[in-house]
Amino acid sequence: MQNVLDIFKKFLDEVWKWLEKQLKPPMVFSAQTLVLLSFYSLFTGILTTGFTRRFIIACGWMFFITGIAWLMNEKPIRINNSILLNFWITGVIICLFVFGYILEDLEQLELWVTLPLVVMLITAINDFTDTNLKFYIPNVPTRQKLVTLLAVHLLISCWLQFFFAANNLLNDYSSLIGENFRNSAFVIKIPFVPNPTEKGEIILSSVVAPVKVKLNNRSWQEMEGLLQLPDRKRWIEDIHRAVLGRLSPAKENSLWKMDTTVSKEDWGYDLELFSIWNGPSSNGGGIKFSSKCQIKKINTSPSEINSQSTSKVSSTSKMECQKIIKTRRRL
Amino acid sequence: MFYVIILPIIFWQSLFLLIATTWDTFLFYRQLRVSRKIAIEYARTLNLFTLVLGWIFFFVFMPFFSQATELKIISWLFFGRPFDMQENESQLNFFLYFVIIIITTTGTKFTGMRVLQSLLQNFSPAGKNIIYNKFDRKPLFTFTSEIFIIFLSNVLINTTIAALLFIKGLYP
Repeated sequence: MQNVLDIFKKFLDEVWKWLEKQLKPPMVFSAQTLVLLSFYSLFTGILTTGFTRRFIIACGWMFFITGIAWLMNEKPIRINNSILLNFWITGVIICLFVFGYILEDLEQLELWVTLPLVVMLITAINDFTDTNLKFYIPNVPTRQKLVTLLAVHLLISCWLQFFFAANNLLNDYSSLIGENFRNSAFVIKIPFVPNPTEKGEIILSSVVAPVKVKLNNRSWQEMEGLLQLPDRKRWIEDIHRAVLGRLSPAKENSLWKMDTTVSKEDWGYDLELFSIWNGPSSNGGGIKFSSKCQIKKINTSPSEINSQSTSKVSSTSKMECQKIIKTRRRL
Repeated sequence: MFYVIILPIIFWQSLFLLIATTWDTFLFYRQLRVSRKIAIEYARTLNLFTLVLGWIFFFVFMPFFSQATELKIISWLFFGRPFDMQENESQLNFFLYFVIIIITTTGTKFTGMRVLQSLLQNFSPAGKNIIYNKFDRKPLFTFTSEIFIIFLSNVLINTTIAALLFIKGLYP
């Protein structure tokens, strides 16, 4: 038993020595000290509450950022021995601290537009200070380099902002997502991202249901009256407006229009309902969703007729609709 | 939710930047008679800043566009075609945009050049920073004022880009 304890103690001793060797800073004022200090702040912060906790952990973050920046200054990280990644890594950590810890809004991705500017700021600080952190004005080639770097970083920020702006436009006009962007010189679709359900299909199916309620089980004469223009246009437009009002508000809602055609057939009437997109589209002609409905005459006894009907008729209407079809209008 | 990435615009803008920098460098070097290195650095920086200012202008004014204008922009961005526009209107607009772009970029670049000159103090056209010898090429023409050179360069840049866009339109 004593033997096992000795071995365990020896093992712990070795582990401690290894840890000490790994973690012990080469000198007191060093990058490792700052990183260790950040972990110490984190543990201390966990033990406290309220403002003290936030303050201590914020200090920990700042020690960590300074430590990492210092460490990478000593051992620069490069891609292919040319592109320096130091400032980008430090910039990402600073952004994580500011957006995630201070603003507590890491999910708002638009904030990351500022990352290239943060990186530029760190680069500039590095070029405007000497090894003793004293400010000096750099020479002409460095100033030229900084001006160009500033322009490049601003351009990257602009591209990031455009990425968000383009996607926001698509979220505002979601009917465009299903379109073909092959001719665009600005964007390409991200492959394998599923398209949302077509807005036109949602609108039309929401319109068809109340139209069915309106025209089903009516006396034939009454139904024929409802199909006459301009009455038909008015009540279908009312239904369409009510449907748009129920949908989540979007800029594109005003671009969806409703249209109908009626033709007399042997069995009764053919009513075709159209939901038409009047916004831009890949072929320039617009998009149209249509649903063809058949209104048939069914002979019934007067007692079965809808109670709203006042006249004594022997036939009522029955409406059946086919599934919604998407078509493109040609130019 | 993200549906698109902007790789095409990064490619096209990088290409346009290359064309613009090439024309500017050529004219700065030949007409303003500065060293090759300075001509390249100034051309690169000025074109980058012009591009950035263009983007900033777009982002600042975008929220104020009417829906009709927004739809026209959307049609250009996503489908590369005009929306709700007459044939003759689109030709007129193209010419108008061409002139507006040349005038605004000339103004921006000239201002940018003055700012850079005061910031870096290493750019003096036909100055003493270069010693000309008999092998040096003479300017192509006698006009050597900075604003004229920038204007000429912008005309050449935008004509080249328009020609490129025309060819792209022919072979989509």
